[in-house]
Amino acid sequence: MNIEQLPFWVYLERNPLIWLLVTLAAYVLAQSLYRRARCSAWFNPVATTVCLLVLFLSLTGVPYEDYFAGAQFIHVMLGPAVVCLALPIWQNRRSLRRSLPALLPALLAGSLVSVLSALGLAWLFGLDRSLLLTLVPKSVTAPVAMGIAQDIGGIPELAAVICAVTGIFGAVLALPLMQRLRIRDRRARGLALGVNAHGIGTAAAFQQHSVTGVYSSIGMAINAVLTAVLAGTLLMAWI
Amino acid sequence: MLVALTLIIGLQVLGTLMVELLAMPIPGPVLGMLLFLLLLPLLPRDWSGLDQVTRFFLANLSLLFVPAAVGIVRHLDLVSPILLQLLVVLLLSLLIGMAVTAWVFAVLARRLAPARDEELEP
Repeated sequence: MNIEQLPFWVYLERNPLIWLLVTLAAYVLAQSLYRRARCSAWFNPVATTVCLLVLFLSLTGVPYEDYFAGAQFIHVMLGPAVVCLALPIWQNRRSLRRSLPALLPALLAGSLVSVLSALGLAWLFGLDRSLLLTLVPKSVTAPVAMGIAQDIGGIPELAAVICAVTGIFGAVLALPLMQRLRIRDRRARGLALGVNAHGIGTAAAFQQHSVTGVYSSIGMAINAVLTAVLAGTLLMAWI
Repeated sequence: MLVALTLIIGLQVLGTLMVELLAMPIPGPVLGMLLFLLLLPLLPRDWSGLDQVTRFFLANLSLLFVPAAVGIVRHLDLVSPILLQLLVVLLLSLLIGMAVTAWVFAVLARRLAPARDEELEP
């Protein structure tokens, strides 16, 4: 069946709001599926929503530009959302100040190792330059990651997808990894999740414990700044 | 609430402008966040519904990058031939990154900032 033959389609097609509606509806559906699956990270709502929408666009042949004309109303809220990350940092300043001597080196090491290991491995596998650059912000919260990818010559949309995949892997694997490494400190567990699996990891961290969640938020926020600076200064000079 | 929303959007615009004008190596919203962090100590607690606005944004953070991620439809032919390599790179790099972050923190914290009871898994 060709969707363009439906009589109401002509009207809907000219109204970009339809794509805002489709995006919201797909997300609401994905969220209820996620709850049904008892918040298993494999049913991550972002992953489900993106799969649904990509499938829908591929089947109907609607160009991405048409879709984005409506979906941009969600997209423009990314920037303000990043600004909001300042609040959890400020609210937890006391615990953070006490942990600072361990926090800063761990953040620096985590950010560096995350970026360098991805670059090194991708280079070993023979992936090309634009992909290498797209991998740089893979552990950064997606809105910032897309900005970084754009700035250094990667592919922003691909960066968003790579972030989602990284976040889902992180949310699933963090607990077994920490148990195997015998790390009981919730601050360390949270930080590892936030620095490496950003927002999706932070959601998983809050399910474990509030301390884990707070340190994950901090890890995510500071890693976003650190990676942006690292990518902007070091990589531009180097590659 | 509207005042808080205006402030947050204003900070982002300010951040983006400053990044452009001063050619800084970070995205505009990140600078906006840093400016917000400087401003927060000056504001009264929960000024003008700031908590509510912030909570709304952060609770729905993942929805916000759906439109961009759907842009992958334009790059399917680039990704599909290297999908396996890409997944292996992401997985290995993630495990290395998480292990290093947690380990560095745990080793340093044991001497410099020992965990309190509520900070330890049983």
